[in-house]
Amino acid sequence: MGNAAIWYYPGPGAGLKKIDLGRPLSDLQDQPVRDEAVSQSISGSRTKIVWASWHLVPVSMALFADQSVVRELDALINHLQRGGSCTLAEDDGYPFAAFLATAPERGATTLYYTENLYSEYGTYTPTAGDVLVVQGPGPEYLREEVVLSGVSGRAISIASPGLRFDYSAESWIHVRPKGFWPILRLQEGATNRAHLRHERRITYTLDLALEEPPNALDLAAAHAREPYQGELVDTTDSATGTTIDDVLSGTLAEEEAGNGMAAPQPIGRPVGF
Amino acid sequence: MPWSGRFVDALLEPVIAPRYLLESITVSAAGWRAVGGDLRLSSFPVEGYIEEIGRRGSSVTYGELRPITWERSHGAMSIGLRGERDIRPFTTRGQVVQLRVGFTGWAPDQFEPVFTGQVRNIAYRGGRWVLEVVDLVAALASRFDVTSQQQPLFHALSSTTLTANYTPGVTGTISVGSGAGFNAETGGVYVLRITPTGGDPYYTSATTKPTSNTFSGTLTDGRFNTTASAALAGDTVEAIAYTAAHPIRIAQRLLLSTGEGTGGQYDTLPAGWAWGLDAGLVDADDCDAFYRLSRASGDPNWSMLVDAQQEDAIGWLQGFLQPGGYFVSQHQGLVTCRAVLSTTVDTSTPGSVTIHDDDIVEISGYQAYDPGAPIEYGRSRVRAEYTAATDSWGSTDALVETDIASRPSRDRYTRDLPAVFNGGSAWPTAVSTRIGPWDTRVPERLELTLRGWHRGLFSAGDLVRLNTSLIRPRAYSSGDTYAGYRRALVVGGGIDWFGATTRLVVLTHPDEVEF
Repeated sequence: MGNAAIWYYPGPGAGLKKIDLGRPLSDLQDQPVRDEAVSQSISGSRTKIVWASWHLVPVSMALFADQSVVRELDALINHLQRGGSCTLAEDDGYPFAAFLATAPERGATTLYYTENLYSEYGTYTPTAGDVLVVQGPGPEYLREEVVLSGVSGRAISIASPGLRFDYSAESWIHVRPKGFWPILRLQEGATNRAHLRHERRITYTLDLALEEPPNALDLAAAHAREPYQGELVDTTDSATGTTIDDVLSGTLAEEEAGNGMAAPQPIGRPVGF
Repeated sequence: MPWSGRFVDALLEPVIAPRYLLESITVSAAGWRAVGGDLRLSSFPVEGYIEEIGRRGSSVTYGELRPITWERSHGAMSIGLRGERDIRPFTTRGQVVQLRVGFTGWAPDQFEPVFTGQVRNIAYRGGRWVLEVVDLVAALASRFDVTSQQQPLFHALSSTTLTANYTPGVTGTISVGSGAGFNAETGGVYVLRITPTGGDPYYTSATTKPTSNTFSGTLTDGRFNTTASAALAGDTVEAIAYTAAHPIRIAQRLLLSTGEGTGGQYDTLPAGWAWGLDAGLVDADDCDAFYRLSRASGDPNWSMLVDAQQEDAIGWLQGFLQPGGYFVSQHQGLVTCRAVLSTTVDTSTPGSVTIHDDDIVEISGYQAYDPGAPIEYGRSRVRAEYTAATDSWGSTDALVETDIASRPSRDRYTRDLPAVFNGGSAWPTAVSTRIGPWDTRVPERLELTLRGWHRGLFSAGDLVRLNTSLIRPRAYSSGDTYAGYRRALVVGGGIDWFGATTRLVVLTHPDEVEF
C-alpha cells in the first residue's frame, strides 16, 4: 500500500502542492450525514424533508516524527482554517475522479467515464480488482461501492449483478477510488481545534476533522466537461446513431444534451460583512 | 393560479428534497418604480443566482384571522444568509421579493411561489445575517408609485366649488372651478358630492366630462340614498372615487388597475385609485372561487364611495371589506380576496380535504372557547341601505339563537354594510348566513401540527374536515368525536418551509353537523 497524501493549491496562481505523509493514515472513519427533519403522525406515517447530504471525513495519523511533514501540515492547516480545501488520498497511487459520460440504470455493468479530473495529481489507470465509489448529487446522495472486473479505454466493467441503484435521473454521477477524496474542507466548528498535537515536539499526531461539502461536486460537475449527453443504448444510440466516442470527444451539439448542468455565473469572492 | 399539479404531487412524497429561490419581482404591470436592485438568491448552485439561502435563521409565518371582527394579522419571512456575499447592493428596504420552492432536478422556472413580501431589513443577529421580509399584504399600506405624494390610495382626489348655480333635474351641466382629480372608472360615471348652502350633501353622477371643468350627459341626482337640492355658485363639490360590484371584484379592481386598461378585465380604475399590481401577483382563480361562494341573491352590488386619500391603503380596504366578512390575504404565495364561510351549511372550498390521524403529529393547542370570541351573541344582525338624512337602515336580517349556550352573553351584534344601497335584504341575508353562526356560538380553536407539507395547501378562509379520535368536540354526546368528518374553518398557519411540518389553526362550530 502506498503512502497517504494530501494536495492543495496554496493560493491563486500557485502550483499544486503535494504533501507526502510518508506512511498510511492511522485512521479514517468516514460517515455520510444528512441535514433533514422528520415528522411522524399519530398513526406512524413519516415525512422526511432532506436539505443536504455530505460526508464527514475525520483523518488521523498518529505518532509521526518527520519534521518536514510537520511543517507542510502546519501550512496546510493554516490554509484550511482560512477556508481552503484540499484533496486526500489514503493511497497516493489512486489519484482519480471522473464524471460518467452516461447515466446508468440499476443493473448496469459497464460505466463510461469522461476524463480523470486529477491526472495532474499522479498517474492512475483503473484496474480490475480496484474498488470504486459511485455517487450522485445531493440531497438524495445515491452512493455505492463497486469492484472493477475489467477496463477497456474509458469503459469500466463491474461484476454482475452491476449497480444496485438507478442513477438514470441524476444530473451527474461521479466515480473515484475508495479512499480518494477529491474535495475536502474543515467541518463547521472545527477551525479552532488542535489539529496537530505533539509530545515535546518529538512525535506528532494529526487529527483533521474534514468533510466533503454538500455542493462541492455540483460545482465540479458544472465546470467539468458536460457530464453526459443523454442515455445511450449499449455504445450506440439507435435513435440518433450517436456513439460513445461522439460523447467522449464532445462532438455532440449542445442542444442534444441531456440533464447536464450549465456552468453557473462566477460567484464573487467573499466580500465580508 | 393554484400550485401546479406536479408541485402538489411532489408535496405528497414521503421524502422531499426542496430547493429555494428568492427573487426580486416586478410589482406593477405599468412599470411603476420598484425600489431596490435585482436580487436573486438560491439555496443551491444555479446560473444567475447567488447561493446564499441557508436553512438556519429562515422561517415563514402566516397571518391569522380573528373571529367576530375577521381582522387579519400579517405574516412575515426571514431568510438566513450564508454571508459569503454582501447582498446589500442588490436589495433595499421596500423591494418586493418572492420565495419560490422547487425540488431537485427542477428548472428555476418550474419553481412555485410560496411567499411574497417586501424587504424590511437586512440584520445581523444570533451570529448570522438575516433578510427580513413582511407579507405583501402588509406592504400594500401604500402604493408603488414614483413620488411620495402618490403613495396614498386615491391620492389625486380633490374638491372644488360650483362656478354656476345648479338645480337638480333642471340644470344640464355642472360647472366647477377645477375638475382636476375628478375621474371615472372605464365605462363608468363621474360621481360628485355637492354640499349646498344650508342643505345636506348629496351624490350626483354624470356620464360625461366634456371639458376639464364641466360634467354633463345623464345627470342622476340624489344617489346612494341622499336627497338632492339646489346648490349655488361657490358651494363645495368633492370628487368621489366610485365603482360598484361584488366586494371581491372591487378588491380585484383596486389591486390590479393601472389606469391604462391593459392589465386585464379588472384594470378599469384610474391609476391613482389602485395599486396596479401585476396580474401574476393576484390569484384570479382563488378570487373567483370565493366570489361564487359568497354571492348574494340577485347579485346586487356594493358601491365604493371614497372622498379622501387613504394613507393606510390596505387598512382602508380591509375595513371596507370587513363588515361583509371579506379580507385580503396571501394564498400559495399570491394575493387574494376571500370571504369567511360558515361550517354550518354544506359548503366546501377548492381542494378541501379531510385531515386524518395519519396527517396529525399532534394537537399542539386546543381551546374549548376561542379567546378571540369573548362574547356569545343572541342575534347577529346585518343592516344595509343606509339613509343619512333619516339615520335609518332600509334592510336588515339577523341570525337568531334563542338559547344561551355560554356566558357572557349579549343580545345583539350588529354589522353594517354602508356600501350596500340596493338589493333589499339580499346582502344582509347572505352575510348573516355566512358569518352569523360565528357570532351566535363561540367556536372551538385547535392548533394542529401536521406531518410533512402535503396538508399545507390551505390558508385562512379555507374549509377542511377533521377526522381524528384524539379529541372530542366541546359539545359532545356519547361516542361523539371528531371522527365523522367535522368541518373546520382555517384561520391561520401554513407550511413550515424550512422544517418538516405544517401548522394549521382552525375553528370549529359546535352546531356543525356532518354532511
